[in-house]
Amino acid sequence: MDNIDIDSLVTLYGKAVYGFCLRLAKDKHNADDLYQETFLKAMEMCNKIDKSNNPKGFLISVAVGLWKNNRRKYARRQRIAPEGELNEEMVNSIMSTNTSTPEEVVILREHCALIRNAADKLDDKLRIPLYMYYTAEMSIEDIALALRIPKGTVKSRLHKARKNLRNVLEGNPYE
Amino acid sequence: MNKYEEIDQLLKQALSSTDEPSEALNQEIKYRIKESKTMKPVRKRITVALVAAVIFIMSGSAFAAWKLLTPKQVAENLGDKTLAKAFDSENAVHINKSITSGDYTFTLLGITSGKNLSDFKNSARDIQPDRTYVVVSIERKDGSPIPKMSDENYNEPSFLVSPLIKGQKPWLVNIFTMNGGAYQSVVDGVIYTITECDSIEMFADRGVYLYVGAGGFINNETVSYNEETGEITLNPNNKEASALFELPLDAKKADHEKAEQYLKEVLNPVPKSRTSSEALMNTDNDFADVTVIPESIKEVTYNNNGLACYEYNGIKMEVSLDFLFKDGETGTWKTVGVDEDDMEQAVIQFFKDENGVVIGRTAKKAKKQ
Repeated sequence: MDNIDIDSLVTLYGKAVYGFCLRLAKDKHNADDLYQETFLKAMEMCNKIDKSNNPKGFLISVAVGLWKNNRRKYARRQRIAPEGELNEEMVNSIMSTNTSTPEEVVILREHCALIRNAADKLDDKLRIPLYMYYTAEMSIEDIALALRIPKGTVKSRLHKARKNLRNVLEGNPYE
Repeated sequence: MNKYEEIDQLLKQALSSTDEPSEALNQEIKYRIKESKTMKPVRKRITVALVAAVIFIMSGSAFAAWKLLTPKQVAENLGDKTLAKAFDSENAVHINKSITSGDYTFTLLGITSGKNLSDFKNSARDIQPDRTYVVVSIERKDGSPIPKMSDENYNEPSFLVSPLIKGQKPWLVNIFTMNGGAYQSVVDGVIYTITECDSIEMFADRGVYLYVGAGGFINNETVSYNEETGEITLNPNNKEASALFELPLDAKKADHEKAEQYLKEVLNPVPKSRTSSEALMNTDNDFADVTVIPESIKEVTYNNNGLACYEYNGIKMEVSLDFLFKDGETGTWKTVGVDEDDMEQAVIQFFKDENGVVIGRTAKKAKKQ
């Protein structure tokens, strides 16, 4: 794969990979690092990237591998310089929905914040497929290929993650 | 809508992302990929030419940094196009002088000064729009690569780059008191640092040094100050790698009056913080009129338990920042410990800025008789 292809990869999949890195690493500084390392690592392994063979899935799987290998460093950095949730992004995404009243917007905001916090605390086995499905918008089949686990296992983990998060919401006084 | 659809919809809203990587970040990736590809053949040529070149390499410490990035490339690599352009202009001075100390070789690559030279925002620029930018590289002497920033061993040891002014005590006038900041990257096993601070050109006729060394502080363990001559030298007893460059500034750009006024402000930090910073006003009134010991101002370190550690003049303190600062609380000095004798009280205070950086200091207050 030559540089033109790497440029295309950044253009085509940069946003999806970055969003995934941001969820996984939890703050912008770590996300920037993880995102950059992902593409540099992908370049080293460029013979494994094929346009017809799901490059987004490959990039996300590289990001997961790097994050697992370096999670102690990211955790340490976060302890030193924690950064908050990106509320602006959350507000924008909510405002773009069809929610009609300010009260509903407030409740939705609270639920989204609750879900994000609860998702962050899930075990990696549940958290990573959850972010791959909802943040990187990968199919069950692509997640299974990227994580090298059966499709049934992906479905089961997503089900468990949703169940956990629903329980969190049901314990919410606003529910 | 059933329960599954409801939670599915909510998860989509909560976990989807509208964030995009910055253009600078994407450019940096593309640059690094292209750079790594173009560096490979260069390395091969270097290997072939090594025997012929060895005599030149041995000839002095100021040998040109021919394999290093230029200041312009370093700025580009960090995504700062405006600074890259500044390093390409006539005002920039390219130095390429190397000093080896301990296990490291430090190379002063270049320097430039002026207004609006960087894409990155720095609040200090509102007060002092004239800024100086210095590019330094740090390599291991044995040629082994310094770990990447993503590696756990990166920043061990950490390095400090600071301008020092001849005639001024280095522990009072340095990168910390001159509104400094630094950006770092590691390319091909070499650390590149861009250090910025208030412009040093006003001191051009006095003599300005650039200190580079392992560690995080400028104190009498790292440098020595001659009270009579004003000269600054490296402390020969310091076992850590360090180097001191003399900066080749144009004496015509010196501004004696401006420099004196600037030093007056830097050397009298207490009145400044009382009048310009709301931070001190927020502390307990009992400690609002303390006299800060400038040498005591340090960024805290962290122990294995995540506690912030501060040490000055034999007083050690470990404190939980969660206990000290509420969520999101910044810009306030917090008084933690008080030590007193018959004449005065010594207090230790901590300050957290908006980037989460925590600084400790020791201050004294005369006791009322």
